Amino acid sequence: MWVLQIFYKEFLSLRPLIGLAAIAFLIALLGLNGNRVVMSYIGTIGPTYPFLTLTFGYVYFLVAFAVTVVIGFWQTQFEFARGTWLFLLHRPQRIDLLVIVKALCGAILALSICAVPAILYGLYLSIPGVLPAPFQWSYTGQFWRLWMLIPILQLGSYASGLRQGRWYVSKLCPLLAVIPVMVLAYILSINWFLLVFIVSVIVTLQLLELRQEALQRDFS
Amino acid sequence: MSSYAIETENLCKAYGKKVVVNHLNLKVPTGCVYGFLGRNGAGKSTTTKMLMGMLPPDAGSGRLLGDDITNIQPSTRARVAYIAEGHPLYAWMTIKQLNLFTKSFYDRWDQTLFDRIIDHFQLATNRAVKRFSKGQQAQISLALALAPDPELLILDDPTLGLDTVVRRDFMESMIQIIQKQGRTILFSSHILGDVERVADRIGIMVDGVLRADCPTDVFKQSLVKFVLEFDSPPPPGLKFPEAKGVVHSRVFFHQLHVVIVNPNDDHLQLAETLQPKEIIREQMNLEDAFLEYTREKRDVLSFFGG
Repeated sequence: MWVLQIFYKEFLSLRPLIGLAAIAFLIALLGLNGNRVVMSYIGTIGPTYPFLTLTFGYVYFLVAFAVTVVIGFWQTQFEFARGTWLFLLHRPQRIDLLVIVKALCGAILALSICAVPAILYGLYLSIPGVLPAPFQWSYTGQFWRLWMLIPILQLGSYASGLRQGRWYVSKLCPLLAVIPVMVLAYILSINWFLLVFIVSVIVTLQLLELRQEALQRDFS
Repeated sequence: MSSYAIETENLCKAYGKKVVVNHLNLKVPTGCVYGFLGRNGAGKSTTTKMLMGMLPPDAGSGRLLGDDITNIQPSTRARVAYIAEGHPLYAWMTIKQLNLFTKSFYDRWDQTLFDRIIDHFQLATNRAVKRFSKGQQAQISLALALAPDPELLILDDPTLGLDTVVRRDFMESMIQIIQKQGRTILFSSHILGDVERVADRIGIMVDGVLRADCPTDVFKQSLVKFVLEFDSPPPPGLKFPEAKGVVHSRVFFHQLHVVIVNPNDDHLQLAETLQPKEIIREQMNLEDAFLEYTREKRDVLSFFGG
């Protein structure tokens, strides 16, 4: 099925970035875990209590958000640089649908890339003796709330990559616009259902914008 | 059903103040092999991208197998093969991966034909596309384009960047493989030799304007060069009087060369008003005709003090 093939293609094309992201997360987590080597280079972070502290969220999501932004741009800019939009968009599907499916594949990959290190870290912390007190998965609640915002950021950077305009003027608007939206969504989301609802609405609006852009864009 | 596979009406595209395609009325009959000629930057690629719906036109309209070019339906796309300039492919994919990827979009995919073309060109399917030469990448593009058995092929300068030998091999193989009753082919090129052997009809773009659109033989026969011989070098600014059919004129040492479409007695009379010593009428071969038709209006440099 073509959707799975696009997902697989996006995964393959993002492999170098996934490798770099894995290294960045490893360094961040080692630092947060109090690793001496990492701390000697980045002395300002860790050790901190996993998942619960502000420092943990700040460091982890600094890496996660940076990776997410790069994924969105990578997906669009590499197609332009190699001229492969012309190849992809000539496949017998609607152009806007192809653009949207590609964006959603990127969002799923960004969610996965940012979730896997945290899950592995959580599993490591669950090993008896690693922490002085038993690790509870419920500690990660706040972490997942921030994680839920990743699709908004990825679609923002994807839309910026797709948008025609100058980098320092209108091209970055879709990306810059999502930052206050993400902060607001995070603050307003007093419970999970509300957060899921808000994220769903924002993502839908972003997909509508992408559709419009796909129908008007010069892909040459 | 329209008898034209491709039709455009006053199609226009400009980038800023530069008009790249200017009121283009292109009609490609169904079943025709159409050579779309023009120099680099003449507007051929922009036109093909608009035809494929990759670039929205500023004005005018167009139809591709009956579909509006601004809203080509997936079912129509499945009937059209498009090879973009430079053969853009996912270079990090192997041929096998590229085959699976492309195939997944089509209901109709002739795997046997794809395999035969790949075998014919002796390409290893487990190698990444980037490991192949430019000519081989063109062959991969061709195999991918033909596997869905398209009714219409649009090839945007398929031999661009290939050396002479590879280009000739590619063209011969391409024609051998793609020739099929009723199949329409539009291919753009800036190399006349590529077009001459295969096209039933040619269109010539000059600065965004379709300056010629006729059967290849008609084009060849209708373009004539008048050589007006003078005793001494004519003034550098000398021009042949403006008249219908005059493509351009330029001073060449002691001569004034005038290229005319379907010359008649009026042209001859106009030539005589310039009082040349002699008027020579030359029939042009296709390559000369194309060159004269597309060259910029520039006089020869007077290297020898002429």
